[in-house]
Amino acid sequence: MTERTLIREALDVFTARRRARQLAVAVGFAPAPSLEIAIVVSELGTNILKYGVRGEIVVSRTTPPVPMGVEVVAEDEGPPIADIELAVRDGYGDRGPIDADQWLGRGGIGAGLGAVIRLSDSFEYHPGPGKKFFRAIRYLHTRRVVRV
Amino acid sequence: MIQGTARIPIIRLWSLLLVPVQGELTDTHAEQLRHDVLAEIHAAGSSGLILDVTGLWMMDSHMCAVLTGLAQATALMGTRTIVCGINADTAITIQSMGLELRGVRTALTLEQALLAFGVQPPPDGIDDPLDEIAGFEHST
Ligand SMILES: Nc1ncnc2c1ncn2[C@@H]1O[C@H](COP(=O)(O)OP(=O)(O)OP(=O)(O)O)[C@@H](O)[C@H]1O
Ligand SMILES: [Mg+2]
Repeated sequence: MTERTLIREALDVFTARRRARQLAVAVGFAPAPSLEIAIVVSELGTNILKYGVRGEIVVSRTTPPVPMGVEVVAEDEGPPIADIELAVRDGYGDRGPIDADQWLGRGGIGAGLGAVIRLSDSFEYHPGPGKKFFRAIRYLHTRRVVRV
Repeated sequence: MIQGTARIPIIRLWSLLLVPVQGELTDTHAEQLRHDVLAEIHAAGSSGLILDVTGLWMMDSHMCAVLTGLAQATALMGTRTIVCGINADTAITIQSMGLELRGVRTALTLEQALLAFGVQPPPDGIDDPLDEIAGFEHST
């Protein structure tokens, strides 16, 4: 079970997150966590649109020995994130805090990656070489590993 | 399925505006909605805005930003906003995402949002207003 969605415009993000929810349900997740997996896809997909270059989202069922769950990989060809430690903080971009007055203008509040981490059991960021990517996993039976 | 293509209706209710936010909003649609709502408030001098999100299947940080931004913009025009129709799953997700609809009032249902704006529920046993429409047949 693998769903691959190229992210070129907002409609692709909608497609990717719907597919993610369907796949999560098929793997056996209840409605609420399936929705959360869709949100992870939505956040990572929106980031590709806003900051990335030629990206895609691959959602798949995990394979043994990884415990059963759903894996989300979001990759793009843009330059790596300046400072991932800052970027994952709520209210932060990758270079520092976001001015609340600019929330709308820049179309974000800096909560996306924080949300991805809170909604995932495992989170990784790989700056490259090659394409940079994020990998988030949600296990059917939860345990948490966060690595940035 | 609505896929970010339909224009969202804006409904006038006395001095209030009711917007059933639905489908999947691209930035263009969000901008369009914002523009339409602000223009309508300006034209009608609306005292309150109700954003009913029952029709959204999920809220991500983008949607929270859109709703918060709209509420902030209307507040500048002296119009209060209430968001209603957030279902249990969505409420939990918003919370576990650590998101909040900053400074935005919420109500569980549309009825509660209307009550909060001082709209009174109809008294029990009111005559069916449809009776007064000539030739109207009740389908039972
Ligand atoms: N794919 C990406 N390519 C380059 N930079 C990225 C990418 N994804 C995230 N970033 C950087 O990480 C920062 C934090 O992202 P995050 O999703 O947390 O917040 P946001 O997108 O700014 O706001 P929000 O998600 O709340 O709308 C971004 O501001 C951006 O600088
Ligand atoms: Mg984001």
